[in-house]
Amino acid sequence: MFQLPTLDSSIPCELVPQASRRRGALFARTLLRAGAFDASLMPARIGSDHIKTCQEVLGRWMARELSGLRILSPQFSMRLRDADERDGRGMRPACVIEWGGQSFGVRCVGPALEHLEKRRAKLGKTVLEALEHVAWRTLPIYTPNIVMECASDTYWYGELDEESALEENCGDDAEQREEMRKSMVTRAMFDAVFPSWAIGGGTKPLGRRTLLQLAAETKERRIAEVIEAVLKLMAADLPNNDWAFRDGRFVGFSGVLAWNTNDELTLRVLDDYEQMIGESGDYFESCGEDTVDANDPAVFREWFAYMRRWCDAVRALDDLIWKLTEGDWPGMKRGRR
Amino acid sequence: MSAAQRQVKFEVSEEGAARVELAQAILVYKAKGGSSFATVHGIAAQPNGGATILPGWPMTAFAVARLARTLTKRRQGGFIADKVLYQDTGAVAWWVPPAQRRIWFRCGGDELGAVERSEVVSHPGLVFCVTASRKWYVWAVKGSARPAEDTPLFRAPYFNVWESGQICVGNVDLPERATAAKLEEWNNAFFDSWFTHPNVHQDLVHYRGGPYKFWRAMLDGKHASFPEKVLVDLGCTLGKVMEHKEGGKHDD
Repeated sequence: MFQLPTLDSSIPCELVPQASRRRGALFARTLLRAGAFDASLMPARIGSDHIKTCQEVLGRWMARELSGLRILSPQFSMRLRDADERDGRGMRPACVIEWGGQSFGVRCVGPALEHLEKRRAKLGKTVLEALEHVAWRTLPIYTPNIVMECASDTYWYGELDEESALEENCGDDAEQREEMRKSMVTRAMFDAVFPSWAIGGGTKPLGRRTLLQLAAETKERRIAEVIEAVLKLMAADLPNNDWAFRDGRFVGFSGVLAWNTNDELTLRVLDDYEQMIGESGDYFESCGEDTVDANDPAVFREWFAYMRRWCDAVRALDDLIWKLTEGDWPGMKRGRR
Repeated sequence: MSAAQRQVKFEVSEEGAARVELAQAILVYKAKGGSSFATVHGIAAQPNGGATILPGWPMTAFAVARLARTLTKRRQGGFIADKVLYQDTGAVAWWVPPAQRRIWFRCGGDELGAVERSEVVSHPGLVFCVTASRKWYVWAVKGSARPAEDTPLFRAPYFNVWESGQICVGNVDLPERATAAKLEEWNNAFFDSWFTHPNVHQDLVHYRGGPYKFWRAMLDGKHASFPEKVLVDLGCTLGKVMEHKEGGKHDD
Protein backbone atom coordinates (compact mmCIF):
# COMPACT_ATOMS: atom_id res chain seq x y z
CA MET A 1 0.00 0.00 0.00
CA PHE A 2 1.26 3.46 -0.84
CA GLN A 3 2.44 5.32 2.22
CA LEU A 4 3.63 8.89 2.51
CA PRO A 5 7.20 9.21 3.77
CA THR A 6 7.54 10.21 7.42
CA LEU A 7 10.23 12.34 8.94
CA ASP A 8 12.61 10.77 11.39
CA SER A 9 11.55 11.50 14.96
CA SER A 10 14.86 13.27 15.61
CA ILE A 11 13.93 16.01 13.12
CA PRO A 12 12.36 18.82 15.15
CA CYS A 13 9.10 20.29 13.88
CA GLU A 14 10.01 23.71 15.22
CA LEU A 15 13.20 25.61 15.94
CA VAL A 16 13.81 28.53 18.26
CA PRO A 17 16.81 30.50 16.95
CA GLN A 18 19.49 31.47 19.42
CA ALA A 19 18.77 35.17 18.91
CA SER A 20 15.13 34.58 19.75
CA ARG A 21 15.98 32.52 22.84
CA ARG A 22 18.34 35.22 24.01
CA ARG A 23 15.78 37.96 23.42
CA GLY A 24 13.14 35.89 25.20
CA ALA A 25 15.42 35.14 28.14
CA LEU A 26 16.31 38.82 28.56
CA PHE A 27 12.64 39.77 28.37
CA ALA A 28 11.73 37.12 30.95
CA ARG A 29 14.46 38.45 33.23
CA THR A 30 13.11 41.99 32.83
CA LEU A 31 9.59 40.86 33.73
CA LEU A 32 10.84 38.97 36.79
CA ARG A 33 12.88 41.95 37.92
CA ALA A 34 9.85 44.18 37.48
CA GLY A 35 8.40 42.15 40.33
CA ALA A 36 4.85 41.80 39.02
CA PHE A 37 4.75 38.02 39.15
CA ASP A 38 4.65 35.40 41.85
CA ALA A 39 5.12 31.63 41.77
CA SER A 40 1.42 30.94 41.20
CA LEU A 41 1.61 32.50 37.72
CA MET A 42 4.52 30.37 36.55
CA PRO A 43 3.82 27.38 34.32
CA ALA A 44 4.54 23.98 35.86
CA ARG A 45 6.90 23.08 33.02
CA ILE A 46 8.88 25.79 31.33
CA GLY A 47 9.64 25.11 27.68
CA SER A 48 12.54 26.27 25.57
CA ASP A 49 10.54 29.08 23.95
CA HIS A 50 10.92 31.87 26.51
CA ILE A 51 8.68 34.25 24.55
CA LYS A 52 5.88 31.68 24.80
CA THR A 53 6.49 31.34 28.54
CA CYS A 54 6.38 35.14 28.95
CA GLN A 55 3.09 35.20 27.05
CA GLU A 56 1.64 32.50 29.29
CA VAL A 57 2.68 34.28 32.50
CA LEU A 58 1.50 37.69 31.29
CA GLY A 59 -1.81 36.18 30.22
CA ARG A 60 -2.30 34.65 33.66
CA TRP A 61 -1.38 37.92 35.36
CA MET A 62 -3.86 39.85 33.28
CA ALA A 63 -6.58 37.22 33.75
CA ARG A 64 -6.07 37.49 37.51
CA GLU A 65 -6.23 41.27 37.47
CA LEU A 66 -9.35 41.19 35.28
CA SER A 67 -11.12 38.20 36.76
CA GLY A 68 -14.91 38.16 36.63
CA LEU A 69 -15.47 40.28 33.51
CA ARG A 70 -18.90 39.56 32.02
CA ILE A 71 -19.16 42.09 29.19
CA LEU A 72 -15.78 43.47 28.19
CA SER A 73 -13.02 41.46 26.49
CA PRO A 74 -9.73 43.33 26.72
CA GLN A 75 -6.77 42.20 24.67
CA PHE A 76 -3.08 42.99 24.90
CA SER A 77 -0.07 42.52 22.74
CA MET A 78 3.63 43.01 23.28
CA ARG A 79 5.92 42.99 20.26
CA LEU A 80 9.65 42.73 20.79
CA ARG A 81 11.93 44.32 18.24
CA ASP A 82 15.35 45.85 17.85
CA ALA A 83 15.31 49.55 18.68
CA ASP A 84 15.93 52.14 15.99
CA GLU A 85 17.95 54.41 18.19
CA ARG A 86 21.36 54.00 19.68
CA ASP A 87 22.15 54.72 23.28
CA GLY A 88 25.89 54.82 22.73
CA ARG A 89 26.54 51.22 23.81
CA GLY A 90 24.79 49.26 21.11
CA MET A 91 21.15 48.76 20.25
CA ARG A 92 18.59 48.30 23.01
CA PRO A 93 15.65 46.03 22.22
CA ALA A 94 12.28 47.68 22.39
CA CYS A 95 8.86 46.38 23.34
CA VAL A 96 5.79 47.81 21.64
CA ILE A 97 2.80 47.39 23.94
CA GLU A 98 -0.73 47.77 22.62
CA TRP A 99 -4.06 47.18 24.28
CA GLY A 100 -7.70 47.43 23.35
CA GLY A 101 -10.93 45.45 23.47
CA GLN A 102 -13.00 43.13 21.35
CA SER A 103 -16.53 44.33 20.77
CA PHE A 104 -19.27 42.91 22.97
CA GLY A 105 -21.81 43.78 20.29
CA VAL A 106 -24.93 45.82 21.01
CA ARG A 107 -26.64 46.16 24.40
CA CYS A 108 -29.52 48.44 25.39
CA VAL A 109 -28.97 50.94 28.13
CA GLY A 110 -32.04 53.18 27.72
CA PRO A 111 -34.61 51.41 29.94
CA ALA A 112 -32.25 51.34 32.93
CA LEU A 113 -31.12 54.95 32.53
CA GLU A 114 -34.62 56.27 31.98
CA HIS A 115 -35.80 54.42 35.08
CA LEU A 116 -32.97 55.95 37.13
CA GLU A 117 -33.76 59.39 35.75
CA LYS A 118 -37.44 58.93 36.62
CA ARG A 119 -36.56 57.99 40.20
CA ARG A 120 -34.26 60.97 40.64
CA ALA A 121 -33.64 63.76 38.13
CA LYS A 122 -30.09 63.72 36.75
CA LEU A 123 -29.35 60.23 38.10
CA GLY A 124 -29.50 58.62 34.62
CA LYS A 125 -27.37 61.41 33.20
CA THR A 126 -24.83 61.05 36.03
CA VAL A 127 -24.49 57.32 35.44
CA LEU A 128 -24.09 57.77 31.69
CA GLU A 129 -21.47 60.49 32.08
CA ALA A 130 -19.45 58.46 34.61
CA LEU A 131 -19.54 55.51 32.23
CA GLU A 132 -18.37 57.62 29.29
CA HIS A 133 -15.66 59.29 31.38
CA VAL A 134 -14.01 56.02 32.42
CA ALA A 135 -14.63 54.28 29.10
CA TRP A 136 -12.61 56.97 27.29
CA ARG A 137 -9.73 56.27 29.70
CA THR A 138 -9.92 52.48 29.39
CA LEU A 139 -12.05 50.83 26.68
CA PRO A 140 -14.15 53.35 24.72
CA ILE A 141 -17.75 52.36 24.02
CA TYR A 142 -20.27 53.89 21.64
CA THR A 143 -22.78 55.85 23.74
CA PRO A 144 -25.57 58.18 22.49
CA ASN A 145 -23.29 61.20 22.74
CA ILE A 146 -20.56 59.57 20.67
CA VAL A 147 -23.08 58.27 18.14
CA MET A 148 -24.30 61.82 17.64
CA GLU A 149 -20.71 63.00 17.13
CA CYS A 150 -20.36 60.28 14.50
CA ALA A 151 -23.53 61.54 12.79
CA SER A 152 -22.13 65.05 12.88
CA ASP A 153 -18.92 63.83 11.19
CA THR A 154 -20.67 61.62 8.68
CA TYR A 155 -23.64 63.71 7.58
CA TRP A 156 -23.66 67.18 9.11
CA TYR A 157 -20.26 68.62 8.20
CA GLY A 158 -19.26 68.65 11.88
CA GLU A 159 -22.32 70.69 12.94
CA LEU A 160 -24.96 69.88 15.54
CA ASP A 161 -27.68 69.32 12.93
CA GLU A 162 -28.19 68.85 9.21
CA GLU A 163 -28.86 72.50 8.25
CA SER A 164 -25.33 73.29 7.00
CA ALA A 165 -25.25 70.11 4.92
CA LEU A 166 -28.62 71.01 3.37
CA GLU A 167 -27.44 74.54 2.69
CA GLU A 168 -24.27 73.30 1.09
CA ASN A 169 -26.01 70.76 -1.14
CA CYS A 170 -29.35 72.40 -1.97
CA GLY A 171 -28.94 76.12 -1.37
CA ASP A 172 -32.35 77.83 -1.22
CA ASP A 173 -34.24 75.16 -3.12
CA ALA A 174 -36.85 74.27 -0.48
CA GLU A 175 -38.12 71.26 -2.34
CA GLN A 176 -34.70 69.77 -2.80
CA ARG A 177 -33.85 70.46 0.85
CA GLU A 178 -36.90 68.54 2.04
CA GLU A 179 -36.13 65.72 -0.34
CA MET A 180 -32.60 65.45 1.02
CA ARG A 181 -33.72 65.79 4.62
CA LYS A 182 -36.05 62.83 4.16
CA SER A 183 -33.23 60.66 2.88
CA MET A 184 -30.67 61.43 5.58
CA VAL A 185 -30.13 61.11 9.30
CA THR A 186 -31.43 64.24 10.98
CA ARG A 187 -31.18 65.83 14.37
CA ALA A 188 -34.92 65.25 14.82
CA MET A 189 -34.30 61.51 14.65
CA PHE A 190 -31.92 61.78 17.59
CA ASP A 191 -34.41 63.83 19.53
CA ALA A 192 -37.02 61.15 18.88
CA VAL A 193 -34.88 58.26 20.10
CA PHE A 194 -32.90 59.79 22.97
CA PRO A 195 -33.99 61.99 25.86
CA SER A 196 -32.24 65.35 25.72
CA TRP A 197 -30.13 64.63 28.84
CA ALA A 198 -28.55 61.63 27.09
CA ILE A 199 -27.18 63.62 24.13
CA GLY A 200 -26.74 67.13 25.43
CA GLY A 201 -24.29 68.83 27.78
CA GLY A 202 -26.44 70.88 30.08
CA THR A 203 -26.56 70.59 33.83
CA LYS A 204 -23.90 69.32 36.20
CA PRO A 205 -24.20 65.67 37.19
CA LEU A 206 -24.93 64.60 40.75
CA GLY A 207 -22.04 64.61 43.18
CA ARG A 208 -20.63 61.75 45.22
CA ARG A 209 -22.34 62.85 48.44
CA THR A 210 -25.75 62.98 46.78
CA LEU A 211 -25.20 59.55 45.27
CA LEU A 212 -24.29 58.09 48.68
CA GLN A 213 -27.42 59.61 50.14
CA LEU A 214 -29.57 58.22 47.30
CA ALA A 215 -28.08 54.76 47.73
CA ALA A 216 -28.85 54.85 51.43
CA GLU A 217 -32.42 56.07 50.95
CA THR A 218 -33.63 54.08 47.94
CA LYS A 219 -35.89 51.10 48.48
CA GLU A 220 -34.97 49.60 45.08
CA ARG A 221 -32.06 47.22 45.44
CA ARG A 222 -31.10 47.53 41.77
CA ILE A 223 -30.82 51.30 41.99
CA ALA A 224 -28.63 50.99 45.07
CA GLU A 225 -26.44 48.49 43.21
CA VAL A 226 -26.09 50.74 40.18
CA ILE A 227 -25.16 53.70 42.40
CA GLU A 228 -22.61 51.56 44.20
CA ALA A 229 -21.11 50.56 40.82
CA VAL A 230 -21.02 54.19 39.68
CA LEU A 231 -19.26 55.26 42.88
CA LYS A 232 -16.60 52.61 42.25
CA LEU A 233 -16.24 53.88 38.72
CA MET A 234 -15.91 57.48 39.87
CA ALA A 235 -13.13 56.41 42.25
CA ALA A 236 -11.01 55.21 39.32
CA ASP A 237 -7.94 57.37 39.17
CA LEU A 238 -6.75 57.33 35.58
CA PRO A 239 -5.12 60.01 33.47
CA ASN A 240 -6.90 61.19 30.36
CA ASN A 241 -5.95 59.33 27.20
CA ASP A 242 -4.28 61.73 24.83
CA TRP A 243 -5.97 60.72 21.59
CA ALA A 244 -4.75 63.78 19.75
CA PHE A 245 -1.25 62.44 19.15
CA ARG A 246 -2.53 59.35 17.29
CA ASP A 247 -2.89 59.52 13.53
CA GLY A 248 -6.37 58.97 12.12
CA ARG A 249 -9.64 58.23 13.90
CA PHE A 250 -10.23 55.69 16.58
CA VAL A 251 -12.53 52.81 15.61
CA GLY A 252 -11.62 50.16 18.19
CA PHE A 253 -14.75 50.62 20.30
CA SER A 254 -15.50 47.81 22.73
CA GLY A 255 -19.21 47.73 21.99
CA VAL A 256 -22.36 49.71 21.32
CA LEU A 257 -24.78 50.97 23.96
CA ALA A 258 -27.94 51.49 21.95
CA TRP A 259 -30.92 53.09 23.63
CA ASN A 260 -33.60 50.43 23.30
CA THR A 261 -34.73 47.66 21.02
CA ASN A 262 -36.42 50.18 18.71
CA ASP A 263 -33.20 52.15 18.31
CA GLU A 264 -32.35 51.56 14.67
CA LEU A 265 -30.75 54.97 14.44
CA THR A 266 -27.61 54.04 16.39
CA LEU A 267 -26.76 51.11 14.15
CA ARG A 268 -27.54 53.05 10.97
CA VAL A 269 -25.24 55.89 11.99
CA LEU A 270 -22.44 53.58 13.09
CA ASP A 271 -22.66 51.53 9.90
CA ASP A 272 -22.30 54.68 7.80
CA TYR A 273 -19.59 56.14 10.04
CA GLU A 274 -17.43 53.02 10.03
CA GLN A 275 -17.91 52.65 6.29
CA MET A 276 -16.70 56.24 5.81
CA ILE A 277 -13.67 55.76 8.08
CA GLY A 278 -12.87 52.39 6.53
CA GLU A 279 -12.83 53.93 3.05
CA SER A 280 -10.55 56.73 4.19
CA GLY A 281 -8.09 54.15 5.56
CA ASP A 282 -7.11 56.68 8.19
CA TYR A 283 -7.93 54.96 11.47
CA PHE A 284 -6.48 53.01 14.40
CA GLU A 285 -7.96 50.38 16.67
CA SER A 286 -5.82 50.06 19.78
CA CYS A 287 -6.85 52.05 22.86
CA GLY A 288 -3.34 52.36 24.20
CA GLU A 289 0.12 52.15 22.71
CA ASP A 290 3.52 52.48 24.28
CA THR A 291 7.06 51.70 23.16
CA VAL A 292 9.42 50.93 26.02
CA ASP A 293 12.90 49.56 26.62
CA ALA A 294 12.41 45.77 26.72
CA ASN A 295 15.29 45.36 29.16
CA ASP A 296 14.36 48.01 31.72
CA PRO A 297 12.54 46.53 34.74
CA ALA A 298 11.69 50.00 36.11
CA VAL A 299 9.66 50.84 33.00
CA PHE A 300 7.68 47.62 33.29
CA ARG A 301 7.19 48.09 37.03
CA GLU A 302 5.58 51.42 36.21
CA TRP A 303 3.49 49.88 33.42
CA PHE A 304 2.21 47.07 35.66
CA ALA A 305 1.33 49.60 38.38
CA TYR A 306 -0.60 51.66 35.82
CA MET A 307 -2.32 48.57 34.42
CA ARG A 308 -3.48 47.51 37.91
CA ARG A 309 -5.37 50.81 38.16
CA TRP A 310 -6.56 50.38 34.58
CA CYS A 311 -7.82 46.87 35.36
CA ASP A 312 -9.65 48.09 38.49
CA ALA A 313 -11.40 50.68 36.35
CA VAL A 314 -12.24 48.13 33.62
CA ARG A 315 -13.77 45.77 36.21
CA ALA A 316 -15.89 48.62 37.58
CA LEU A 317 -16.95 49.62 34.05
CA ASP A 318 -17.84 46.04 33.20
CA ASP A 319 -19.90 45.71 36.38
CA LEU A 320 -21.84 48.90 35.65
CA ILE A 321 -22.61 47.95 32.04
CA TRP A 322 -23.76 44.53 33.24
CA LYS A 323 -26.07 46.07 35.83
CA LEU A 324 -27.54 48.53 33.32
CA THR A 325 -28.11 46.11 30.48
CA GLU A 326 -28.92 42.80 32.11
CA GLY A 327 -32.29 41.74 33.46
CA ASP A 328 -35.67 43.38 32.89
CA TRP A 329 -35.67 47.03 33.72
CA PRO A 330 -39.10 48.71 33.53
CA GLY A 331 -39.87 49.50 29.92
CA MET A 332 -37.65 46.75 28.61
CA LYS A 333 -39.37 44.15 26.51
CA ARG A 334 -39.08 40.81 28.24
CA GLY A 335 -36.91 38.23 26.63
CA ARG A 336 -35.20 40.69 24.33
CA ARG A 337 -32.24 42.95 24.58
CA MET B 1 -27.76 36.72 37.29
CA SER B 2 -24.78 34.97 35.83
CA ALA B 3 -22.80 35.04 32.64
CA ALA B 4 -19.79 33.32 31.19
CA GLN B 5 -16.56 34.95 32.19
CA ARG B 6 -14.91 36.86 29.36
CA GLN B 7 -11.52 35.79 28.09
CA VAL B 8 -8.60 38.17 28.32
CA LYS B 9 -6.23 37.76 25.40
CA PHE B 10 -2.50 38.44 25.79
CA GLU B 11 -0.09 37.91 22.93
CA VAL B 12 3.68 38.31 22.97
CA SER B 13 5.46 38.23 19.63
CA GLU B 14 8.76 39.35 18.17
CA GLU B 15 10.09 40.84 15.00
CA GLY B 16 13.08 39.35 13.28
CA ALA B 17 14.48 35.98 14.30
CA ALA B 18 11.59 34.14 15.89
CA ARG B 19 10.43 30.57 16.41
CA VAL B 20 10.18 28.80 13.09
CA GLU B 21 7.96 25.85 12.31
CA LEU B 22 8.64 23.07 9.88
CA ALA B 23 6.63 24.04 6.82
CA GLN B 24 8.04 22.37 3.74
CA ALA B 25 10.53 19.74 2.62
CA ILE B 26 12.67 19.76 -0.50
CA LEU B 27 13.65 16.43 -1.99
CA VAL B 28 16.62 16.42 -4.33
CA TYR B 29 16.97 13.75 -7.02
CA LYS B 30 20.43 13.29 -8.53
CA ALA B 31 21.36 11.45 -11.70
CA LYS B 32 24.70 9.68 -12.09
CA GLY B 33 25.65 12.17 -14.78
CA GLY B 34 25.46 15.05 -12.30
CA SER B 35 22.11 16.58 -13.24
CA SER B 36 19.59 17.04 -10.48
CA PHE B 37 15.93 17.75 -9.93
CA ALA B 38 14.15 18.99 -6.83
CA THR B 39 10.58 18.84 -5.59
CA VAL B 40 8.88 20.88 -2.87
CA HIS B 41 6.54 19.15 -0.42
CA GLY B 42 4.14 20.25 2.26
CA ILE B 43 4.38 18.78 5.74
CA ALA B 44 1.51 17.35 7.75
CA ALA B 45 1.99 17.23 11.49
CA GLN B 46 0.84 14.00 13.14
CA PRO B 47 -1.04 13.91 16.45
CA ASN B 48 1.78 11.86 17.99
CA GLY B 49 4.26 14.66 17.28
CA GLY B 50 5.74 13.17 14.10
CA ALA B 51 5.39 14.60 10.62
CA THR B 52 4.65 13.28 7.13
CA ILE B 53 5.98 14.57 3.84
CA LEU B 54 3.04 15.20 1.53
CA PRO B 55 3.02 14.83 -2.27
CA GLY B 56 5.00 17.64 -3.85
CA TRP B 57 5.57 19.64 -6.98
CA PRO B 58 8.67 20.50 -9.04
CA MET B 59 10.88 23.25 -7.65
CA THR B 60 11.53 25.97 -10.21
CA ALA B 61 14.79 27.88 -10.57
CA PHE B 62 12.92 31.00 -9.52
CA ALA B 63 11.77 29.29 -6.32
CA VAL B 64 15.36 28.19 -5.64
CA ALA B 65 16.62 31.77 -6.01
CA ARG B 66 13.83 33.12 -3.81
CA LEU B 67 14.56 30.54 -1.13
CA ALA B 68 18.28 31.31 -1.27
CA ARG B 69 17.55 35.01 -0.79
CA THR B 70 15.29 34.26 2.17
CA LEU B 71 17.79 31.94 3.81
CA THR B 72 20.75 34.28 3.40
CA LYS B 73 18.65 37.30 4.41
CA ARG B 74 20.32 39.20 1.61
CA ARG B 75 18.74 42.11 -0.12
CA GLN B 76 18.99 42.09 -3.88
CA GLY B 77 21.03 45.25 -3.95
CA GLY B 78 21.78 48.48 -2.18
CA PHE B 79 24.49 50.90 -1.17
CA ILE B 80 27.76 49.44 0.01
CA ALA B 81 29.17 50.79 3.27
CA ASP B 82 32.47 52.57 2.54
CA LYS B 83 34.30 50.76 5.34
CA VAL B 84 33.42 47.27 4.12
CA LEU B 85 36.52 45.61 2.65
CA TYR B 86 35.33 42.12 1.94
CA GLN B 87 32.05 40.23 1.96
CA ASP B 88 30.95 36.78 0.93
CA THR B 89 28.55 34.22 2.32
CA GLY B 90 31.08 33.18 4.97
CA ALA B 91 32.49 36.44 6.29
CA VAL B 92 32.43 40.21 6.31
CA ALA B 93 35.53 42.32 6.96
CA TRP B 94 35.66 46.04 7.53
CA TRP B 95 38.15 48.78 8.25
CA VAL B 96 38.24 51.15 11.18
CA PRO B 97 40.64 54.04 10.37
CA PRO B 98 43.13 55.27 12.99
CA ALA B 99 41.28 57.33 15.56
CA GLN B 100 41.07 58.45 19.14
CA ARG B 101 38.65 56.28 21.11
CA ARG B 102 38.03 55.48 24.73
CA ILE B 103 39.41 52.18 25.96
CA TRP B 104 38.54 50.34 29.17
CA PHE B 105 40.87 48.16 31.26
CA ARG B 106 40.04 46.03 34.27
CA CYS B 107 43.13 44.04 35.27
CA GLY B 108 43.63 42.12 38.49
CA GLY B 109 46.89 43.78 39.53
CA ASP B 110 48.42 47.20 39.60
CA GLU B 111 50.30 46.92 36.28
CA LEU B 112 48.33 49.73 34.65
CA GLY B 113 48.46 51.98 37.70
CA ALA B 114 45.02 50.96 38.97
CA VAL B 115 42.74 47.92 38.78
CA GLU B 116 40.36 49.80 36.49
CA ARG B 117 41.42 52.47 34.03
CA SER B 118 39.81 54.18 31.09
CA GLU B 119 41.18 56.94 28.87
CA VAL B 120 40.72 58.26 25.37
CA VAL B 121 43.81 57.11 23.46
CA SER B 122 45.00 56.80 19.87
CA HIS B 123 44.37 53.53 18.05
CA PRO B 124 45.95 52.23 14.87
CA GLY B 125 43.96 51.41 11.76
CA LEU B 126 42.14 48.13 12.34
CA VAL B 127 40.51 45.44 10.26
CA PHE B 128 37.68 43.48 11.85
CA CYS B 129 36.23 40.29 10.42
CA VAL B 130 33.17 38.30 11.51
CA THR B 131 32.55 34.88 10.03
CA ALA B 132 29.24 33.14 9.48
CA SER B 133 29.95 31.05 12.57
CA ARG B 134 30.28 34.32 14.55
CA LYS B 135 34.04 34.07 15.04
CA TRP B 136 35.32 37.58 15.40
CA TYR B 137 38.81 38.71 14.42
CA VAL B 138 40.82 41.91 14.56
CA TRP B 139 44.16 42.88 13.01
CA ALA B 140 46.06 46.15 12.81
CA VAL B 141 47.21 47.96 9.66
CA LYS B 142 49.70 50.80 9.34
CA GLY B 143 48.83 54.19 7.92
CA SER B 144 45.51 55.81 7.29
CA ALA B 145 44.86 54.54 3.77
CA ARG B 146 42.01 52.16 3.13
CA PRO B 147 43.49 48.63 3.22
CA ALA B 148 43.60 46.58 0.03
CA GLU B 149 44.19 42.94 -0.75
CA ASP B 150 48.00 43.35 -0.54
CA THR B 151 48.04 45.39 2.67
CA PRO B 152 50.31 43.77 5.30
CA LEU B 153 48.60 42.82 8.53
CA PHE B 154 49.96 43.41 12.02
CA ARG B 155 48.90 41.92 15.32
CA ALA B 156 46.15 43.95 16.98
CA PRO B 157 47.92 45.29 20.08
CA TYR B 158 45.01 44.59 22.41
CA PHE B 159 44.42 42.37 25.41
CA ASN B 160 41.85 39.56 25.03
CA VAL B 161 42.84 38.83 21.43
CA TRP B 162 44.36 35.45 20.48
CA GLU B 163 47.36 34.97 18.22
CA SER B 164 45.12 34.28 15.24
CA GLY B 165 43.46 37.64 15.76
CA GLN B 166 40.31 36.01 17.15
CA ILE B 167 38.73 38.11 19.87
CA CYS B 168 37.94 36.45 23.18
CA VAL B 169 34.37 37.72 23.64
CA GLY B 170 33.73 36.49 27.18
CA ASN B 171 30.38 37.92 28.25
CA VAL B 172 30.33 40.81 25.78
CA ASP B 173 26.88 41.41 24.26
CA LEU B 174 27.40 40.94 20.53
CA PRO B 175 25.11 42.29 17.81
CA GLU B 176 22.76 39.63 16.43
CA ARG B 177 24.07 39.74 12.89
CA ALA B 178 27.19 40.81 11.07
CA THR B 179 25.78 42.94 8.29
CA ALA B 180 27.08 46.17 6.82
CA ALA B 181 24.40 48.07 8.73
CA LYS B 182 25.62 46.75 12.06
CA LEU B 183 29.36 47.46 11.77
CA GLU B 184 29.30 50.35 14.23
CA GLU B 185 27.60 48.09 16.78
CA TRP B 186 30.45 45.59 16.45
CA ASN B 187 32.98 48.41 16.84
CA ASN B 188 31.18 49.58 19.96
CA ALA B 189 31.05 46.04 21.33
CA PHE B 190 34.84 45.86 21.00
CA PHE B 191 35.81 49.24 22.38
CA ASP B 192 33.12 49.44 25.08
CA SER B 193 34.07 46.16 26.72
CA TRP B 194 36.69 45.65 29.42
CA PHE B 195 40.15 44.51 28.36
CA THR B 196 41.34 42.25 31.17
CA HIS B 197 44.53 40.36 30.24
CA PRO B 198 46.81 39.67 27.28
CA ASN B 199 46.01 36.41 25.47
CA VAL B 200 49.29 36.63 23.53
CA HIS B 201 52.17 36.46 25.94
CA GLN B 202 55.05 37.05 23.55
CA ASP B 203 55.16 39.71 20.91
CA LEU B 204 51.81 41.32 21.45
CA VAL B 205 53.71 44.58 20.92
CA HIS B 206 57.34 45.52 20.35
CA TYR B 207 57.71 47.60 23.47
CA ARG B 208 60.32 47.57 26.18
CA GLY B 209 58.65 46.13 29.27
CA GLY B 210 55.89 44.36 27.34
CA PRO B 211 52.18 44.98 26.79
CA TYR B 212 51.31 46.25 30.28
CA LYS B 213 54.06 48.88 30.12
CA PHE B 214 52.88 49.86 26.66
CA TRP B 215 49.24 50.31 27.62
CA ARG B 216 50.18 52.11 30.84
CA ALA B 217 52.20 54.57 28.74
CA MET B 218 49.24 54.98 26.38
CA LEU B 219 46.82 55.55 29.26
CA ASP B 220 49.23 58.03 30.86
CA GLY B 221 49.22 60.00 27.60
CA LYS B 222 52.87 59.42 26.70
CA HIS B 223 52.03 58.89 23.02
CA ALA B 224 49.83 61.52 21.42
CA SER B 225 49.48 59.46 18.25
CA PHE B 226 49.61 55.70 18.05
CA PRO B 227 53.28 54.55 17.79
CA GLU B 228 53.00 52.20 14.81
CA LYS B 229 56.54 50.93 15.33
CA VAL B 230 55.25 48.80 18.23
CA LEU B 231 53.03 46.77 15.90
CA VAL B 232 54.13 43.16 15.31
CA ASP B 233 54.23 42.09 11.65
CA LEU B 234 52.21 38.93 11.02
CA GLY B 235 53.92 38.24 7.71
CA CYS B 236 50.70 37.97 5.75
CA THR B 237 48.41 40.21 3.79
CA LEU B 238 44.73 40.96 4.15
CA GLY B 239 44.02 39.09 0.92
CA LYS B 240 45.81 35.99 2.18
CA VAL B 241 44.03 35.95 5.51
CA MET B 242 40.61 36.44 3.94
CA GLU B 243 41.35 33.70 1.46
CA HIS B 244 42.17 31.16 4.12
CA LYS B 245 40.62 32.70 7.18
CA GLU B 246 43.26 30.75 8.98
CA GLY B 247 42.70 30.38 12.66
CA GLY B 248 44.61 29.27 15.67
CA LYS B 249 43.79 26.65 18.25
CA HIS B 250 40.94 28.70 19.70
CA ASP B 251 39.08 29.04 16.44
CA ASP B 252 36.96 25.91 16.68
